[in-house]
Amino acid sequence: MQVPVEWLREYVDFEDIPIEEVADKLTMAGLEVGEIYPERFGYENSYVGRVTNVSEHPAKPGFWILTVEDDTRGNTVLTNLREFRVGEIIPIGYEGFILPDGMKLESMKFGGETSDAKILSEADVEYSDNAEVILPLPESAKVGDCVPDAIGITQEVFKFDLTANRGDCLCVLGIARDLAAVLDRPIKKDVFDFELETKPLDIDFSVTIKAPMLCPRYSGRVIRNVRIEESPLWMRRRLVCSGMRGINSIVDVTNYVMIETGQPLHAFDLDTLQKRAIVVRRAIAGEKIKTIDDTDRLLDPYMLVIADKTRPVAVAGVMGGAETEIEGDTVNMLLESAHFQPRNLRKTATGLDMRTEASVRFEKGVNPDTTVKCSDYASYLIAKMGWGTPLDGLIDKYPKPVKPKKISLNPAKVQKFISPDIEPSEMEGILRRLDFVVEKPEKGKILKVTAPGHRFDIAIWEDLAEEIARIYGYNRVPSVMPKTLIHRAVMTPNQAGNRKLREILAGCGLSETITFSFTNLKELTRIWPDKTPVAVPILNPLTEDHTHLRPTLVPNMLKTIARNRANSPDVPLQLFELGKVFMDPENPAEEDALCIGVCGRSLRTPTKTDYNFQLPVYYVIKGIIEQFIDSVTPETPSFRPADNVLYHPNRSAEIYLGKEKIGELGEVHPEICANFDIRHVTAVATVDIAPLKAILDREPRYEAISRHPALARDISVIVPENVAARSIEEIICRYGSDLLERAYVYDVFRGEKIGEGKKSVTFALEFRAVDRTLTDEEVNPIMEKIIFFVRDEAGGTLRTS
Amino acid sequence: MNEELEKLEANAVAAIQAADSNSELQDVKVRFLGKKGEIGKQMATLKEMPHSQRKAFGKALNELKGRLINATEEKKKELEEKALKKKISAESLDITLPGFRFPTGRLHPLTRVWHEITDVFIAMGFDVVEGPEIETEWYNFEALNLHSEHPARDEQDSFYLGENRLLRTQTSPVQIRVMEKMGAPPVQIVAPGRVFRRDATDASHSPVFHQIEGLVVDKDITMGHLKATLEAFNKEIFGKDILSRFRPDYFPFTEPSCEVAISCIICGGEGCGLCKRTGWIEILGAGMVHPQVLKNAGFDPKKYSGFAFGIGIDRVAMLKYSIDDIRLLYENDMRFLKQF
Ligand SMILES: [Zn+2]
Repeated sequence: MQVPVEWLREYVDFEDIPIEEVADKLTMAGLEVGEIYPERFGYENSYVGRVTNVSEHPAKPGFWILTVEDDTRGNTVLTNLREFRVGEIIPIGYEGFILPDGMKLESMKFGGETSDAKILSEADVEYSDNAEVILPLPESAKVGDCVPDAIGITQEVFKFDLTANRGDCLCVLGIARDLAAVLDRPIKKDVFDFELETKPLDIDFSVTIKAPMLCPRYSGRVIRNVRIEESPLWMRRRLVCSGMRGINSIVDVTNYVMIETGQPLHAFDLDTLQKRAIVVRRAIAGEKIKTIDDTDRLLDPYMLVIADKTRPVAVAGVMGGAETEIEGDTVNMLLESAHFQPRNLRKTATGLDMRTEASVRFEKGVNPDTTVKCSDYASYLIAKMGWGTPLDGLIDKYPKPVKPKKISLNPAKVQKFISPDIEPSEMEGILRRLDFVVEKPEKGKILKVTAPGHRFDIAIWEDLAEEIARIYGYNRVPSVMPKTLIHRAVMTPNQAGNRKLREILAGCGLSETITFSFTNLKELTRIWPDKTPVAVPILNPLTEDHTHLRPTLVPNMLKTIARNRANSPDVPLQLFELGKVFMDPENPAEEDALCIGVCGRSLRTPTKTDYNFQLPVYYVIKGIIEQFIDSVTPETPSFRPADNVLYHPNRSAEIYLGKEKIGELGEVHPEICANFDIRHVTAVATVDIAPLKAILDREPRYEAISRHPALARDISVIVPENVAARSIEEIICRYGSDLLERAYVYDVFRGEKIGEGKKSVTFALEFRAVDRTLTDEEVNPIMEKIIFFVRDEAGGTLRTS
Repeated sequence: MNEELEKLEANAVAAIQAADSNSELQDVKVRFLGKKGEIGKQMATLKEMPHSQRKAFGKALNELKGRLINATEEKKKELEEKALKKKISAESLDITLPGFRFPTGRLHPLTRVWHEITDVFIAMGFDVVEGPEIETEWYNFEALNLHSEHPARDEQDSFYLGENRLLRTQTSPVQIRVMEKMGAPPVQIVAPGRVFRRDATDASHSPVFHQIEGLVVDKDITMGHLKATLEAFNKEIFGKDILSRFRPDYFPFTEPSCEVAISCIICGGEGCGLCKRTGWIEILGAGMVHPQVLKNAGFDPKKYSGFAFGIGIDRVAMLKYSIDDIRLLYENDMRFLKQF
């Protein structure tokens, strides 16, 4: 909503207050002025210029070629108006300047010479019709000024960002009413104070409302002999300043009244209506209408239409039909002013994808009290401008007039709710300033308040409290900390768990990513062509990439890695995302998931020769997972070969904690990497975090530590390459007795001595007893047993050093 | 002391001084002090010596032995010091080469702000709760006074998953869920979470973003309580000198409703690009809980009142860290992530 300040001044005096301050006061009362901007009516491309060169046209006698400049621009102007002197100051319009006929100024050629600007005449800025008179510039005009600024026709316009409840403020009158209340000044002008002169009605026409729920009020007036012409400059200027365009006298007057009063109007050519009948009804299935924007629209039965005897002639409150539009030869015009039910109207406008100035107002509510007054106002303006003759016999169908609702207001309650500082008398005053009727009972303190017709948003006493508070000023309400009983505020265990996990993950050297919750089937099948995870589809997706809710975090992780790789090819990536995934399209459910991604050499070493080791990325991510799980629980995870096409078949594993599978990890299959444009070895892991969160929730329990020293041994076993170290470790642990505290891989060695296809794995073993220092005599038999079974069960040979 | 001993001492001392390594010194030690060494040989002559000389010679010999042992020890110490010095000087490094390090993990700026905001509210006694991202129309709209043709729904274009099932457009449905669950006041909660709007992405819009909802319901809750709570929040998050401004706004589920702005964190109120020359930055929406909403959640609005607020976590993060494009938050560029 845009309102020219000049138009507001017609209603309220505020010359004494700077307009920025006025805008601020309106904003602080809930009518946000988003912007104050100068409206220049399409005359932006103009400036006050200085003539810097004059020469005669070489081919066309009587024409001069002028060079005109300001500090930043320069133009060439051909003119035959008169001879100019170098140094003269003149108004210039250049390419893009909008001429009175609506055309944009363009450069042109005349007699072989190019002119890219023109000297502005009075007619060019619609000062007069005189195209021969150069627009006179005031003394104050400076070279470089925009011409409308220089001659003072630029207008300040308030651009409002209104809230959805203030439909009453979608007009000058509405803004003026609030402004008057805010400034506590009177409204100077009654827009409805006029004498409408009419001629007798000499034709029949009818109005029938068949859907009174959707159309509580409908009025029609006949206007004879309409004259379609250009409306005067002052009217067009106000329309332009209000964000409309001048079209012709009748369209302009209906728009003008709508902008001023908020009541949308429509004009029919009455003689094109069959039987000169207006029937307000729901559309019939299959009915069509060609609207005035020349579009054929198929109507739905829930939509309200204005029809004549046989066909729809307008989509009620949204747009008129092309066939019944007024034309230059229209004799009898029917002026519609009505009130429509907002909800259905909004549904219709949305359904037809037609949001018009009229529909926007109707859907936010139009005052049903002033339907006829606004029609009369338009008729009055038409008569006054000589654009037609209003006939009497206005038909006004208003079967169930809206009864104003009385709301009981207890000032003490408002004081308790908003602020004890607001005096009841001030509450009354504020409400009266806002046109509310306040009745004071003889006894008691409860006020009876009736809202004015334009305030259909007021229904309960809390609404009145808001009106009082917003005019009183929210910032005057004293701040008081609520009193609460002391209690321990907590997070849900889930949130607390997520938070701990995030911190642990960051502690493991992983940086957190956050991505959208969306995916698409293409990227899911790029990873899992066969067992594609089932994703929840979005019925109305915004883009092709975001058609489903993600059932896994993996595709987004791969995309994040790919993007980072493209942006910074050498940066090592260690990332995690902890976010929701969605399952089961039938009965969508959401749960937290964790994905870890690693790409690039993440251990930074000073030089290649010093201690560079080419660790497979598999071991990097496995190390991270082990570190992560170790930060959560003392229990050690185990790893078994995974069966997931996402991964390199020989470099992936399932993660087990006890007997429970809690995730998978591995290097991403090279083909999938290629599918996601990743050229580096990349590993990802997914981990179920619910069991981890459950562990985090438990308090750790201390287990006694021995005060006696450990006895260390080691054992090197030569086994075929395909024997997993873990399987030997299991044998060692199985026969290590209670005294074996720890066994771990200490070294893996390959070489000629060991033989092809074999490896030597060295385990470090630590024996310890709780109650005594162990002796070799106690440990030796255990070692012999271990050695025996390692040979027997793993087929290993012992390597002696 | 006879000449022989003097000569022996001179030889021994010279040999000790000449030793250049521990092993050489060891050889010298053996040569002079060992069982069959020079001193030992002299000791052996004692027996054949006349009694009168034996005592004095023995004493001189012992004293000499002692001096030589001392000299050897001293030399040993000297050699060790020398060796250590040599080792240390051989071990010199280019101390400016990069260290052996693991990557540093960082939390996403949204998570940082999420934690910071919830901590502020926990300190003020708010429990932190959560609600589902997949919502029903009732919780997301109807219970909050947003019926299907409400003009305010223009700003909340939603993603639908099925009949009556959608991705929540705001965290406000948690208000209803919490009140239903608790059954009775006092309610004092915040609910952070992800929300979705069917908006095309640009520098300031994202179809996915994050909010934190707040709700306080009890007897005699007033607008003054709302103001004090949010003023305290703004100061905690943006700094002690931050001013808060409240102005009327409209949300169907609060009455009165307000928009809260803070004094510009860049210019402090003078007016700059960030605050669009107003000196104020809009930061959150709030209001007194609409009586119909209390009723919808099973609370008696005649007995209780409350206030509610919704804060954009993304917006707070962008303001706090001077991030000028919301898309940066979801692109996860390492060069961005490592700054937090
Ligand atoms: Zn600023």
